[in-house]
Amino acid sequence: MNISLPWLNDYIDLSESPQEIASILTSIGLEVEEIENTRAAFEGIVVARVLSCKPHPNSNRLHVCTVDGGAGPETVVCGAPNVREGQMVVFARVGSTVPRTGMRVERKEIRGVLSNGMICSSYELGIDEDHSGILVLEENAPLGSPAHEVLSRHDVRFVIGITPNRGDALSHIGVARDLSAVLRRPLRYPVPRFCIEGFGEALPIHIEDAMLCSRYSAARIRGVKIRPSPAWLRNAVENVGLRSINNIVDTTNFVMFEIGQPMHAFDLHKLEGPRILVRAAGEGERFTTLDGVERTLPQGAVLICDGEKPVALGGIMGGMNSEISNDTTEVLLESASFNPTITRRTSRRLLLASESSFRFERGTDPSRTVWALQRAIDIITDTAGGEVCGISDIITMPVCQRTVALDPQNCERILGYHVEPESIREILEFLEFHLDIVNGVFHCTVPPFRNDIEREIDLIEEIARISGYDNIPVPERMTLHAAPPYNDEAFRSACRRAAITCGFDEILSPTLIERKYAHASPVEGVIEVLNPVNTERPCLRPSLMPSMMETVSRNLRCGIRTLRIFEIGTIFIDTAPSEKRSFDSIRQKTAIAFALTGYAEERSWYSRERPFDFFDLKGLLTTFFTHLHLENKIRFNYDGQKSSSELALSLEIDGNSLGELKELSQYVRKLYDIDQPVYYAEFDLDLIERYQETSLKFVPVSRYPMVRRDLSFIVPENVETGDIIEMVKSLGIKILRDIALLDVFRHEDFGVGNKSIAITLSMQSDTSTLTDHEINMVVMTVVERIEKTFSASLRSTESTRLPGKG
Amino acid sequence: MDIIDALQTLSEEIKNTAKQISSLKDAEEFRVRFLARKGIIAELFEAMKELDASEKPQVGKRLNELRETARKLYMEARERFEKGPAITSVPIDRTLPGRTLPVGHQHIITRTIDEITAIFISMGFSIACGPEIETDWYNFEALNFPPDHPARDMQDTFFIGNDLMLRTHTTPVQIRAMENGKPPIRIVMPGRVFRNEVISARSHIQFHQVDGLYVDEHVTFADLKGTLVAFAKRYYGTALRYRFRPSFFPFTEPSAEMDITCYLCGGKGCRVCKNTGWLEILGCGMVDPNVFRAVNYDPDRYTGYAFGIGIERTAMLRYGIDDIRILFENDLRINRQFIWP
Ligand SMILES: [Zn+2]
Repeated sequence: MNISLPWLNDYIDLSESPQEIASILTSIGLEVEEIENTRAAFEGIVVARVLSCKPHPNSNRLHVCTVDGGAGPETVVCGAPNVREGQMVVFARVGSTVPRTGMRVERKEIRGVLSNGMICSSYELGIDEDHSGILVLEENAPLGSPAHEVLSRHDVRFVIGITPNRGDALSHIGVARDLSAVLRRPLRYPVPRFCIEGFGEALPIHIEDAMLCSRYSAARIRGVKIRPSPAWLRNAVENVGLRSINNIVDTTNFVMFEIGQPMHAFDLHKLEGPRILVRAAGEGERFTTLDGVERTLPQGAVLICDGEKPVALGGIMGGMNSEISNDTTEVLLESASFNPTITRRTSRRLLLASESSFRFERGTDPSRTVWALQRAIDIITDTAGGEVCGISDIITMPVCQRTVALDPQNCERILGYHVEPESIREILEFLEFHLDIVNGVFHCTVPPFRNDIEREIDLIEEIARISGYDNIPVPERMTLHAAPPYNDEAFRSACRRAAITCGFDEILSPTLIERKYAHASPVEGVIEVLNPVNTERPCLRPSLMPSMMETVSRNLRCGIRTLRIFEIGTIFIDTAPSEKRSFDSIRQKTAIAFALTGYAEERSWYSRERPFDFFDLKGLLTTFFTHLHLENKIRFNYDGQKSSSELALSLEIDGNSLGELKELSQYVRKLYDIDQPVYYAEFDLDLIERYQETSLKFVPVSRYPMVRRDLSFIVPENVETGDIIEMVKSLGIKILRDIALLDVFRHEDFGVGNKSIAITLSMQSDTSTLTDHEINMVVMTVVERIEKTFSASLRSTESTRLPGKG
Repeated sequence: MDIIDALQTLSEEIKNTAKQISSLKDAEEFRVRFLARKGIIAELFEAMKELDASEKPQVGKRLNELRETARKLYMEARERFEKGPAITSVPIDRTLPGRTLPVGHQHIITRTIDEITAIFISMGFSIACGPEIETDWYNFEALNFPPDHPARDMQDTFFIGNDLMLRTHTTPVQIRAMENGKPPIRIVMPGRVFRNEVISARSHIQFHQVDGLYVDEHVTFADLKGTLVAFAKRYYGTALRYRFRPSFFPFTEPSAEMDITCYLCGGKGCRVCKNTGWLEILGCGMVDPNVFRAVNYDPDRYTGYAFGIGIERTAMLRYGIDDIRILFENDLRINRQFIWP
């Protein structure tokens, strides 16, 4: 909201600089977002002397003048009849902007003479309506100084962000009231001259439902003359950023910005009856507002009607059909109090907000409607003439006065410091609370414009706000509590660290994704947002894959050819049909996804280029789970055929499926416009978290030597290494500490359909050095079982005895 | 002969022979003589089997030592003669790059969350998280947003069903934490939140917050200031100047926003601080009694403070990022710029 500094001065004496006022306003919760002033508009406009003035050689009316604005003489063509040599004038240099018209002053030739600027009239400067000639300043005006200083055009305005609880501060008097409390300076209310006593009813008014409108005050003024507003009124409304329209409309806006009461003026001759009916809009009812738009109204919107038709959308905007025009001679001024909730709903539904709806939504002061009428009548009769011929005031709900008790001790309990009761009293009284102090407790009658004050805590906030938050002490010491552990987040952090350590880059991508991607995954139960502003991405991601693939695709197009990325994020799946959707039917799971594409090894002096393959991802995941100490709990499984060409594995933990890793299909790659292989894995992180290792224990190591035996077998192609290793492990040989795969290769000597698999057995005892006999027994057992189970034949054996410590 | 004496002699012999090795051929001879399958040491191991059980351990130990010494001397000699000539015959280009491992990068947002939460953890806070889809009760009602109140307009909401929405702030986690626990509660709540707006350089439909909550007896606004000043000094540096100014949030009363001197212009005023010289870093306040009533806490007994920090804004200011969209586009040329030692 815009608040003009000179206007504020009508209600409180402010000698502080605009910056000081701004910082006070901000410190009491009326945040000044910007300080704007008309200085900017006066830039390049200075006080100058007319050095010479001669008639224009090619014109009877024009003069050719030389002026000095402190930067040397300039030639200017001037058309004003009153320009004379030696005058002090206001000179707009080339490049400046004429304040009234907003036109730029250009260097231009006027009838053969080059004019370098412009001597201004008071009209052009926006001071008054006088455009009969140039403005002539006092003889002693300081040459070359900025014109706004000489003209006292310090029209500073503050752009204030008013929080939604402070409907009372949406006016100059409201802001001045807060300032008066901080500065302990009196607030001056204007005193209306017009007396409402002794008038008959303006017109019949009927309010159908008290919920719509708690008070409707109106005045009928006849014999008005619609004119442009006088300079002071126009300046006032323009200073708060409104467009000046005419003396009647400007008056209603002026009063709204003075006291916060929105008003509306009807052309009385356009009202049937004339009478007023306030009623709720029916379903589908249509109405054309002042802005010329025909709107379908939501049911229940407040409609102001005359004897036969709607004439205004109550609290929001007037209608085209009853608008003030230049021929208007009789007006009906409305000053009412409309329901905040209904106003807000209607305004939201229609996407139509106005200065008026903004104030009604936040609550206005119903006790001020008549006062506002009186103020408007004073200004209208001054500027438009006319006389009042009727006053009406219908109250459907009386204002109820709230009383809230404040125990000063609770002030200290909340704020943490002692506030003097005397200071509390002063603050509340300046804010227009009425106080009864009983046994040290303040019983505060809340003024009707403060609908935000209902409880003691609200009063405590007022005390804190006006005393200044700076007065609240900052303790030097803090107490600590023993904090409970926070496992979820700690585990997610550990996963993030593990993935980064494995060389993956973390990405964070949008939760909302495009429909074509959301439905590309075979997942059921995709959830869509009902009201997205951005309709391109309405779906909550059911998997991290779409955003991971978008990232891959985008980066490949940027010329990055190798990506190792991961993301940790929430995915959403609804287990119920959308009409039965509930909080409990929605699964919100934390997932982790990995993607690899490009090259495991770049070409370099020590290696050849090697593209990533499936086993790079499998290996990195193994490393990842090892970082989490879960490598022994995770199992890689596949469904279907052995040794199939499909590159996919599922992951399990303790028999529960975690997710899978795979090479993405052509179909998926095409969807994201990716033309190189991508390896992708996604897991349920919440499930993994349940198996996290929390108790680490020391295990003693053997003091005796470890013996290794390498064995290679020729086996049929369909034998898988995993099966061999699992089988050997399942033998449960105590001294067989480890079995690992060494290599797999094929050679024509082994015969078609066969391959060689080499494994290494590591053997060790905790109690003695193994004898050759013990070692040979193990090797024999293993060889025999492998040969039997897998139709294998032993090819070779080698042994190494590693030194032990014994 | 006493076997121990013999072993002593052997030890000296090994050392002397080793000293005289002057070629690879000498080294091989040394190996054959002492270490081979039929070498002196192997023979002695064999001979050891004849000894008394009482002598075996001592002799075995000594033999093992000798074998290790001989093996070491042999390896050293071999290395000397194998590698020695290579150095002189082929010059090594020591400017060749070393073999590196890929470096992973943390995202700016999760990093900023980690830094902020770590500071609060050091002050005795714990971490709590909550769902991203929330009910009206948790997101608004329990937080003292009455239906149809203009305060709801501050947060344009994505609805996904009757009564269900994407949370517009992490504050609902406060309600869940208070429902599931009892005072003292001292937590920070990081997470992703959503606003149904048009995406631009300055605002996004998703961003992250860290909320904080401390509820106990005798918690005051002064404690709030103390904690947040301590946080700001840790995060922004001890020299900073700050101010608290009144604001409005439905779930706190009194409410405040904390500003610090703009660290880009030192408070003189610049484009980033909109010429005010101040940067808003967080919102905070004392927990509104209505919030306590919503979770059945007695507001006459307990007081508390709450705060909320916008992560994107914090990170963008710190790293000089002027377009929020960059943060979720994942251009790795940008993500990879950020490495925190
Ligand atoms: Zn700045």
